[in-house]
Amino acid sequence: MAESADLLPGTLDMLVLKAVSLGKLHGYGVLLRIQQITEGALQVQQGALYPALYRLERQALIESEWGTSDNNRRAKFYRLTPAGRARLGTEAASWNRLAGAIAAALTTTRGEI
Amino acid sequence: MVILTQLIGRARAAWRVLWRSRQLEREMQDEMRFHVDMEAERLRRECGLDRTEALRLAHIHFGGIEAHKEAGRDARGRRWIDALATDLRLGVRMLIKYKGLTFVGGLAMAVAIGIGATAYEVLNEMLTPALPFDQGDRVVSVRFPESSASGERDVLRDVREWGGRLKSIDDLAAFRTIQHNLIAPPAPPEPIQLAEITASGFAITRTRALHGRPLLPSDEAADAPPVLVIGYQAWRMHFTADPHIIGRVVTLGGVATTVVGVMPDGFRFPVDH
Repeated sequence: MAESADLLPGTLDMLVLKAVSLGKLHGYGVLLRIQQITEGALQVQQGALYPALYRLERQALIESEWGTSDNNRRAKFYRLTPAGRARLGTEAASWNRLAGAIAAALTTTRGEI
Repeated sequence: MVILTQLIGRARAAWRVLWRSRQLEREMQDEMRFHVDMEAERLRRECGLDRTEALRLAHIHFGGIEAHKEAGRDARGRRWIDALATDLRLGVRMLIKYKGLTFVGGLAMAVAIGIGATAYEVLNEMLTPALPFDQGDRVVSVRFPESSASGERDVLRDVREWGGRLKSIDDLAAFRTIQHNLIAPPAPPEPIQLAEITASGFAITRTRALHGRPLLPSDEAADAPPVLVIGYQAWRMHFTADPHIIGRVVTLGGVATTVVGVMPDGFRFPVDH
């Protein structure tokens, strides 16, 4: 397995929002999708997903309903709300700003100081 | 609009937390159980593990269920309600356990409340005093503003006129204090304080005379004989509590006046009640 990074706090919420934005998912599906879209580069302790889901649900950024999974079992599905979509947008923007700033700082060469 | 739906969503979530906590617990259990089972199935499929091994590994991947559940409850915002409920239960148990302390504390609170209530009553009396009559809080004093144009005013005429016309006032009375010489043998003549008052004054106090009667409107007629109502102290001091006082004629300020009534002890209206 390639080297994996630990998750910064707060980024898990963002990843969950992103995963759910791509379609209705149950908790396990969210995990699989996160692994998929990060190409396995990030380690997520699987159980930690649920507090994140509940937290986001409490903030009404996602909403849930019980349904049936592919293999005919009862599962709780999560879906993005309009507020969640808006939040995802702002979070992504500020993340990109932050990442850009750090990247620029790290690529500063001796000559540019 | 987004904010409103968000608020509604949060309110609904808070409601569920409050009243459906057991259901939420069950749901959380079901969700996590489902997750572990799915992971175990995947491990069996992709890594060819047997059931028990897959399940064990799946649990490891998941992490400590109880810890995640606790975090989940936290995230739901149930913590403070749980803490409050626990504190309340503990508090009640302690109250029951230390009965003596509870009793003393309750007593102290009762005393403090009593003092506070008394202070309030005192302040109330001071700020809005009421005469100790029947419905004394309804007695008000009406002042007539000085109007320089009319000079000496005929208060009695004003009282008669206005008493009838004022709608918010039932009885209107007027009085003035005056000093006269009282000649009531066998006591020596002496000056006494009097209040010349309209009969309605007695109507306002709604106090019955101890002996005889108070002043009546009939006494105000121009041709009515002069009458006098005396106070309890005056009856004892000047008339030696004469039991036959009613109907006795004395000389007041040179005028023959009949005593028609004695008021009960403590009645000092209108001067000093």
